[in-house]
Amino acid sequence: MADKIRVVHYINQFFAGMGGEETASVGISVEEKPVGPGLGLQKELGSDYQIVATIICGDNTIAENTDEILAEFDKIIRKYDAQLFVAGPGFNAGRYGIGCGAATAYVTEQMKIPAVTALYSENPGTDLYKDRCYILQTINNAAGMRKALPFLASFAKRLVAGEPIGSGKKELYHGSGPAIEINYSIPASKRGVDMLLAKYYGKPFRTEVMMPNHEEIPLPVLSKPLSEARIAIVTDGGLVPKGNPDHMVPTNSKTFNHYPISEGDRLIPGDYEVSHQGYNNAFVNADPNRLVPVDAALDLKKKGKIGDLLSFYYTTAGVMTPMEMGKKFGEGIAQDLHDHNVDAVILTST
Amino acid sequence: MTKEIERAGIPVVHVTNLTEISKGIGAHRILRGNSVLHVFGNPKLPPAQEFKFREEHLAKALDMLEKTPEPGQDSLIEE
Repeated sequence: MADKIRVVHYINQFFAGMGGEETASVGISVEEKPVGPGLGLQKELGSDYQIVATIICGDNTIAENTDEILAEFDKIIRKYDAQLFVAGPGFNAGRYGIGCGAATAYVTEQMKIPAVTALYSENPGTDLYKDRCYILQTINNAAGMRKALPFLASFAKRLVAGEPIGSGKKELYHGSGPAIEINYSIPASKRGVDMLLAKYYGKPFRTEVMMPNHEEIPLPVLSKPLSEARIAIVTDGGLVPKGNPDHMVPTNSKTFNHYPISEGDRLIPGDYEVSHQGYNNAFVNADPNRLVPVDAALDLKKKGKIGDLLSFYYTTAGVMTPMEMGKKFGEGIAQDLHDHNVDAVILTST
Repeated sequence: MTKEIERAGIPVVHVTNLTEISKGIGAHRILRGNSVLHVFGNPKLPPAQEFKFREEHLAKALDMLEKTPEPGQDSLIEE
């Protein structure tokens, strides 16, 4: 019989049956067998796999001394010559989630051993480590164990087999998974052809460009009829007052601004200009309402279609601006919109 | 930006010509603009007609605020 795949599993004091908060500061210990959820995990992994060691660590211990504890993990994983590392699942347990994420990221990046964990989306460990290792999606409590274990086991087996893993959206892991390692000593042309051939022959390969796995957010709905709603206009097309008083950069934006709309019933050409180097600005310079449709909005207000139009608009230049920056702008604008009792937004992008 | 504003509970209609990108990011309500260069404009038309186009297009966007995506769909997209 072929040798079994050697697995090291990490769980916390609670799942090891040692107790809850009162034992959360216990140190690290090892059992040379499956423990707690490891029993179910062993069953799901099947007879080709063996959990040779279970690392048990108190949640306070790992959350407070993460680096020291990971160094201990390293020694144990080497000692047992692990070919697979599984952490948790940690569901929505905060410190345990940080432990699961930190350990899985460490084993993935430093030890280059297949590693996986499973957490709830809002576990603090998820956000911290979702782009450094595979964190499978679970519900927020241990009632999800029955579903999480087969999911973890089948995913882990695919990692061990070197099977291609798709995007997080498709495979149901958080974030973008482990960072992609690119060997730059091989020219891109060769890497590209190698990847194509691997794809053609159905062999494993991994893209060098992973699309971020965007989290889903609840669908917002209008809280009142449109005819009573206050609307704001936001644009990433870089419209600023003539002379660009705040020196808003035309690319790689660091700020958003808001500016009053002209007196009267429309944005007056000549009062505004575009600071955005990502498109031909001529049409918007000739009539800024083509980007920030104030004339139409005010007319629709007059006709009673909307309740009100906010008397200023928000603007930035969306070109070459990192996603994280856009996120920050969005948060700032949202806060401001709340302060001004805005009910809905028309956002124009060039 | 669309997503963060929506996260705060404020519905947004994203008017853009790059509807696939908007959908990929996870925007819920997306309306295709007239052009990347002028989402709410149509310079080929005489001014009065262009204004009419803009008003109709904005009305269409506003109407989307009161709609929700089809069951099973993440986004409501009007091309």
